[in-house]
Amino acid sequence: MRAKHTKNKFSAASVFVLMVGDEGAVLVQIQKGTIIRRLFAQSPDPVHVKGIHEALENAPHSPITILFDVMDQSYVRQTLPPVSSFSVGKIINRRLSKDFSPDDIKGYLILDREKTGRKDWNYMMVSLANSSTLQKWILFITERPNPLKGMGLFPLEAQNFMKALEKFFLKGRDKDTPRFEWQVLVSHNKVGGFRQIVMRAGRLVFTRMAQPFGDSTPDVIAGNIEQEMINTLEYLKRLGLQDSSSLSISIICSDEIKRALDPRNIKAGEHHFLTPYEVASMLSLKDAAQPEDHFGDVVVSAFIAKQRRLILPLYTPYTKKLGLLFLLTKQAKISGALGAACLVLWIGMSVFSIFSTRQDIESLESKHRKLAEDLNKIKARSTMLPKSINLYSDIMTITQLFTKKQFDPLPFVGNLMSAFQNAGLAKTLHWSTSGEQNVTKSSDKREIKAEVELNLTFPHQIRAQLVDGIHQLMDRMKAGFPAYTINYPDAPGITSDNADIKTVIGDTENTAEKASGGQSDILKIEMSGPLDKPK
Amino acid sequence: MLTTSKDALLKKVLIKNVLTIAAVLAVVLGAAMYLSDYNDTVLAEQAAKQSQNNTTNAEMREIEATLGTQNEVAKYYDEYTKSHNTSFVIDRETIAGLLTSLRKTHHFANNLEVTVSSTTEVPDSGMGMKSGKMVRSNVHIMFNALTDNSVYNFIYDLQHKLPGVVVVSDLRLTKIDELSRTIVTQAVSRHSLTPMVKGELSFMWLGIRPAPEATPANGPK
Repeated sequence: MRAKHTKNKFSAASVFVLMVGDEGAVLVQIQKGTIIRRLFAQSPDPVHVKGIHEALENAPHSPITILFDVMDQSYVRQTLPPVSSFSVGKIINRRLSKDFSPDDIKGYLILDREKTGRKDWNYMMVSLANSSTLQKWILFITERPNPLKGMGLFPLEAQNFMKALEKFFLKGRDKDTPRFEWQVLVSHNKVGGFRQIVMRAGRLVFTRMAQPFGDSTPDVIAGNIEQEMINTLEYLKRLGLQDSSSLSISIICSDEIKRALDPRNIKAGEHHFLTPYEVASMLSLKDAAQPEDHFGDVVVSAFIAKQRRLILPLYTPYTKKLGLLFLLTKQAKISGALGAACLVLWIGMSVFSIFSTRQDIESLESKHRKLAEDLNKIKARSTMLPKSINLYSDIMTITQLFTKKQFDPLPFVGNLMSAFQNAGLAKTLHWSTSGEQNVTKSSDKREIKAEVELNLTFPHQIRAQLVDGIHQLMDRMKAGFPAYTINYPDAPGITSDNADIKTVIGDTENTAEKASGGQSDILKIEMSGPLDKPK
Repeated sequence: MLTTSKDALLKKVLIKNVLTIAAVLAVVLGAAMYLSDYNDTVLAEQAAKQSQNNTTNAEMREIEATLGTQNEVAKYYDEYTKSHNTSFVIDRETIAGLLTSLRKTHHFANNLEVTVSSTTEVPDSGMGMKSGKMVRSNVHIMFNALTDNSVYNFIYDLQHKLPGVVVVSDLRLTKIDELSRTIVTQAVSRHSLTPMVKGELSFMWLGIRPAPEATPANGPK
């Protein structure tokens, strides 16, 4: 309960790894890539786990991963006939419950599928005896408030660590350098002993644990490691190791043991004897180890903690249930937050819309006040108009119509007088419009017809003068009435092209000249128009 | 078998969390729905105001347009009546009176022979009369005048002093005598005028018969 008051405010940003072995457990707390705490407990008894208890209570939201490095774990490679990928899991689970005790913690890994032949499935069954110590550790962890990220087996999860080491060793070498088919890691772990892990072509094929003998000297331990390695290599021959030069061995141990190890005693392609401190530097695991450190648990755990997920997460029915409850709580919070965010967004949009619409309404209202004012003014103005406006409108329609039509004798006569000038005086005038006068806005097709008899007043005793005078008059007429057809039949002194010529030919001279003296001085002009066609 | 109260605790936490989240979401949802509803109301109000403004605007534009036309009409009428009779009611009695006066003004000799046909309604045919029906009468006048100019002035006066519109359809003028010393002497000694021109004039006399309900109380301006 005390822990609740001293919560690390960065607790959510840190993670825990508890590595459990037969000899105890190591807890590592990592925050932002740096190890900030490492604690050892030799058993899950309350007396021994006090520190771990406190550390976990101080960061109750930090997830914890449990890695098991106990002796009693088994790995069995199996093949399955080619079934569909959907049912393979079900079949393996059936096999697991048949082959192992119901209390065991078990799981499986599908390794690959044969490329040829029947295309069998290759898989590995994994089980861990659920001993009372293990149960106590699991119980201890599940009672803590921290979410359980998962439980994994150290040899399985260390595969990525081994790959990272290999990558480091290959750094700087030629790309064509052949990679070692076999990789062996020996880690001197505080919680168990000498954990040996063998990978072939990047896959776990074998693992075993060797226990050190009591308080031995480094030389004895080194000899012990060498002997165990020789035994292991012997066993590996049964698994297909033909040439020990295709083998790369890495041993993580204390500096004293490292110095005592003799590579000549272990037949391998290459040897890497490393202290935990060297490994931490190689893999940039900040503060994972000190130069004087003896054991490899912490660096490997720190590396595994940095992995996004476990290669094979294992569960007991109870941890599965807890995991589900944690997941549901998390999902509920996420869904709630998402739902709330959507609703808040909706609220925000509504509020924004309300405010902007309100502003718009205000501006509309002010516009309306102005409009109403204008409307009243304009209505007042319209009442001031004369009452007979409809009559006025009709008068305008009618008068404009007749102004447009231009059927008026007065302007016509004015034009006529201008054209006559002093050439003659009108004797008769007949001006008329053709057809019935209609009152309609449609175009008026009627014509004006006019006949004028003119008493010529210019000198016309000589025929040439007469003809000339008439022609001048007609030119003025045509200029004055460009849209009219103008005829002057029977004009004195002028014979039209289609009229007969009648004259008396005799002895008297200048008959023609004199004949003109007897000509009439009346000129008859006929006009019609205006015409539609352009003149 | 491992049994602790952790799962029960987690269940409790889960239920508590779910209930809290549900309660919070319900409250927020309620608020959101209320605001959304209110927003709809405000939007409807805005639409109503907008449509009200549109209606007022349209009404105003319509009045403005009518007013514009009517102003133009009033202006035209003012201008027109400066030189024409203000009335458009044609009346066969009116023409007799006016012709008597014009005969004197233009020194027409002898009597005027006037025929005024009965007034008939003119079909509207697209004219769109508002104040009443168009009516016409055909007028024929035979006259003797001193000069042709006095005839033209007579026609001008008819066009401007008669109510309605005068649309001439036929005009005949014949000179019957020349201006001579004898005529002038006669005019001076006998105080009588010898006509030198005789003529005939036909025109359509067009006016408006006001519709009974449209008859203005105070008559045309």
